[in-house]
Amino acid sequence: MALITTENLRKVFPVRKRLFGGQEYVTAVDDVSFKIHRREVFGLVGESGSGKTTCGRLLLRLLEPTSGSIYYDGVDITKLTGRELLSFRRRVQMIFQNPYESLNPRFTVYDSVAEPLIIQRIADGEERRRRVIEALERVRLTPAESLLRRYPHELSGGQRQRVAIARALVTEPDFVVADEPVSMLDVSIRAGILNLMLDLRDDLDLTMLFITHDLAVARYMCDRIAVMHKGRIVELGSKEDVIENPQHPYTRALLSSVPRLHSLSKT
Amino acid sequence: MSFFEIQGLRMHYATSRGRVKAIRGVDLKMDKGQALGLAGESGCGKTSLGLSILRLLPNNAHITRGRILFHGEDLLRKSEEEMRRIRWKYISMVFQSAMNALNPVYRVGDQIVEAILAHEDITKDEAKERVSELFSLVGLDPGRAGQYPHEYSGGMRQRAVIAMALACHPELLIADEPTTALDVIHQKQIIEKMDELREKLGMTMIYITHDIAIISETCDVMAVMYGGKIVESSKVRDLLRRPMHPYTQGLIRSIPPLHDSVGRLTSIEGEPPSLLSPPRGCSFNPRCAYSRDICRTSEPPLRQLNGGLVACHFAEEIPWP
Repeated sequence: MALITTENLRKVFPVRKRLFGGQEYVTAVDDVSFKIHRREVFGLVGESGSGKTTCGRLLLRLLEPTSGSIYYDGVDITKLTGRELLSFRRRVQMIFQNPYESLNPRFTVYDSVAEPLIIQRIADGEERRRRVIEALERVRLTPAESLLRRYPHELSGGQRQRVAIARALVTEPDFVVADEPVSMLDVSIRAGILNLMLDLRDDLDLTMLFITHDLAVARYMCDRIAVMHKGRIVELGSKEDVIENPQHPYTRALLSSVPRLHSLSKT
Repeated sequence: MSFFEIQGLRMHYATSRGRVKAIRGVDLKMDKGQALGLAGESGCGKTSLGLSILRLLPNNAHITRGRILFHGEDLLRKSEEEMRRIRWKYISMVFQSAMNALNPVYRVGDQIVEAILAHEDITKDEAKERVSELFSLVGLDPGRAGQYPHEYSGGMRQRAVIAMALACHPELLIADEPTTALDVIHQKQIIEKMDELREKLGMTMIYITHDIAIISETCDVMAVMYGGKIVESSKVRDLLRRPMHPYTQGLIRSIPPLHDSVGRLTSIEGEPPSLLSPPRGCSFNPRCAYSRDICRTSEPPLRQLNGGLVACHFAEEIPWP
């Protein structure tokens, strides 16, 4: 069964008011419908401005949709308020592109990872500390104790993104939106983070929306891929179908633009 | 005499925490018309190398050794005035961030006209004429030369910056991640444009990027930098067919392929070295699966092997794939 179902999702942002004349709008997400199955890594691929980040934020209700519905585990989350909304927030998390920005520079590693537990009143005292250490070990930051008092500037880019992932997973969410989680990282450490995320999906039974502009990364990470263009999903299918047998002209254009490592690709 | 050559270049930045040794002995030789891809990760010294060539380094940078020979003349011995004449006219650079390279309060066309007039003895009308040609050349509508940078999209700005770099028909173009901020479709258009221009103008090019795939599509020769040094270089096809240095091998293995399924990617363990205190011996040794005692004590020189150059004590013994 699908964990998430969106139906005719739309998000319109007001842009600027002209001096004479009305408000202008931009449609960031335009009539988008899809399902994400349990334990699936669902890829949202597109260029900057295609609406993929907006779409991810809508699913977590970090943004309110203009119209349409989002069902999470059968419940329409666009209607949730108060206590129900809080309990929904406990089950979902987001991993951002830039660990330099997503971690508070004045927080130690411990503070950053413990914060979601504090905000959501999940654990305190020894239990809180135990869960922070467990989360850090899960992302292979070991020995975890030695990192607890470090600040972000004392960590490398790869370690920082691991801390950000630990922070997202410490509340044990069911669903994670990862928005370009490796695009700021050096090539040599990207693969390690991607492998880690796949392992965590298996170990924790996570469902994941994986947002990326990189089709090769999408192929490696995802089960199914949706291609977004100008706010709409123009193609959706298994990763093999989308990449080896693209139907939409935009998907074809995108695929033919990807630079290839010539000696390695089969000709 | 080579068209362009770097010999034993060393450079560091003086910082409050000590010397950041960004270039730790680099040798490089290029023929006219060649395209060299300089690959490496952030902080490996590749951008510093580009800036050193044009002598555009910040004040805390110090070149302590080496020569940069352009037509046999050492650029490091030129006066600031002489360098000003060389920049743009003979050697120019495309920077990564097009937004910062354009002045927001001047019309794009005027900025390029000004750059041309600063270097060449032609009339303003002739310079304007050339701007129109340049715009067409890089695929911009010449009618938009009168617009300001904010009226351009990201892809258009990057084209404008390339047009500016080409304005005085330089012999050597240094392109530092010229397409990294762009979407793949724009990236492909710009790469193809630069390729075409290189052929047409007989330009020599140094293409600095972390993306090996781009190098494989555009360059003849590739050099891989790590820890402030070139650790491997050879013809692009040879290097990708049989990478010799464990770092190059690791990089290639960690890139997911688009059209093949892979079981599991292998990543390079650990992190790139700090250039504040680079490791003793081979700078890759803390991350290298093949490292032995000698790698921790003695720095491997860049030496000839299989028609290329490699800096590894055990390059002959390391298998591929």
